[in-house]
Amino acid sequence: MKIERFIYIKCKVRNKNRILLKLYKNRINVYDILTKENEIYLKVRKEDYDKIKEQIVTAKFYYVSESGFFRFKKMLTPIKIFAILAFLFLTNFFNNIIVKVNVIHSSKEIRELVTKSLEAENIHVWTLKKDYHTLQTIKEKILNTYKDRLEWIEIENVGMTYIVRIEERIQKQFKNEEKFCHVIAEKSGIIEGITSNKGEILVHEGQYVAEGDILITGEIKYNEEVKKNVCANGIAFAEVWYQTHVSLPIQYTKKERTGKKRWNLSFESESGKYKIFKSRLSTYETESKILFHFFNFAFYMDIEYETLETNHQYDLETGTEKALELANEKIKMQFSEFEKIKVQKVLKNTLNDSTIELEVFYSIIENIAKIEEYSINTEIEEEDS
Amino acid sequence: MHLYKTMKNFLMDFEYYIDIYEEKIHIFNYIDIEKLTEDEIILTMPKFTLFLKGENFAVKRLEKREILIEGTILDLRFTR
Repeated sequence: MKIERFIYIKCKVRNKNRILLKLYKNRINVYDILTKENEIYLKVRKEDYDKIKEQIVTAKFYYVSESGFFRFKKMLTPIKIFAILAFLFLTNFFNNIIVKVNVIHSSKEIRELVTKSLEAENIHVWTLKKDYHTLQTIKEKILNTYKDRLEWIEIENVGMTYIVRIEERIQKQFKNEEKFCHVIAEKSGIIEGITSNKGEILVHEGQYVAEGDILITGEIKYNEEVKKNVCANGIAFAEVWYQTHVSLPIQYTKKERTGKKRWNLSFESESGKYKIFKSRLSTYETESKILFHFFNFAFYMDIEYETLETNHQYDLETGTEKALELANEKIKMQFSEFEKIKVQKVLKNTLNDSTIELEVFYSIIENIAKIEEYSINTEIEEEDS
Repeated sequence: MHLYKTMKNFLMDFEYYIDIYEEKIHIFNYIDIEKLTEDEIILTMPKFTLFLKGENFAVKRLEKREILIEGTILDLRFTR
């Protein structure tokens, strides 16, 4: 297939339309026309160029450049092609090389053991990265070699570094010492549900328990006589009550994107992340996409979205809603083990000059079980028996 | 859109068509250019003569059967 060859030519004229009419009369197609003050740039077929010079003698035409594929072809000199290929090769090479193997474990002995094993498998600095299947095989091989020392190993590739995490196998020593314990209530509340793995449950659902009451006992009784002592354990969910106070400023700043965006580049080193070009926006939010890693550096393509900050003020209704959200977050942070919030009720909401004050009552279902050890006097027991 | 119209014209054999855009006019299958200035263009079409009056007319593409003109169109008329 023959590719049509187009070129850009230019001509200095006062009346551009006259030249166009002359071209038209000579049946010469013009595929693009650009005008600049007294100059006119025309995109024509290459074979028409000689015809134009011959037939239109009133104006002088100059060749400017090729167009499309041929322009690109002309731009690509062998040196440029070589430079691009070399850049691609180097980028690919540095993307696939390891500059650091970081073995993480508190024991020096384990670290040295794993480092030596990895070196034997050709994982050390200035070597090429291994594919996923090879890494899996190496991990299995190391674990099989040190069955009694290592429990688990993970090799993670972060940039140009391999991070090796290890879990040491701990030989369990069974102790003969026996512990005896009760499960007691850590807080006061109404029992919603209780289960035990060991021990005897002393309370039932719907029963009120005070802080320190025994919920599951370690004493196993038969006919009111203690037959055996165990370390009781289990979970007891109870309804517990709290009251919390939240103070929310009435004034708040809202950040909104204007729709304007700018591109930027940034790099990240161990000391932090830095922008390569100064941002042209005064206030903005940045979203970054990683381009490539180079040693301990990472290069990012940033999109900066311009933002506009506006000041707003809460009224009592919306302020109470927002303060309630904050109160919920506060209570969730405070009690990690709770199952759910059963009841929440705003006791008091007041709007001051600069803040909204909120007092909220919470009824929360949470685990109140706490294991407490106890000891038994075996000598007395023996004497009694 | 242009490709679709070209194909439609090829298949249905239209004599001509004129597309008017915001600041452009595309005319297909004109016969001759009678006048070409910055504020007036007169084209001979198969069955009538087309008069265009406006401001800052500039030809962006000029072929045997097609012409694309940029500029502000103020008046468009035709006479048989």
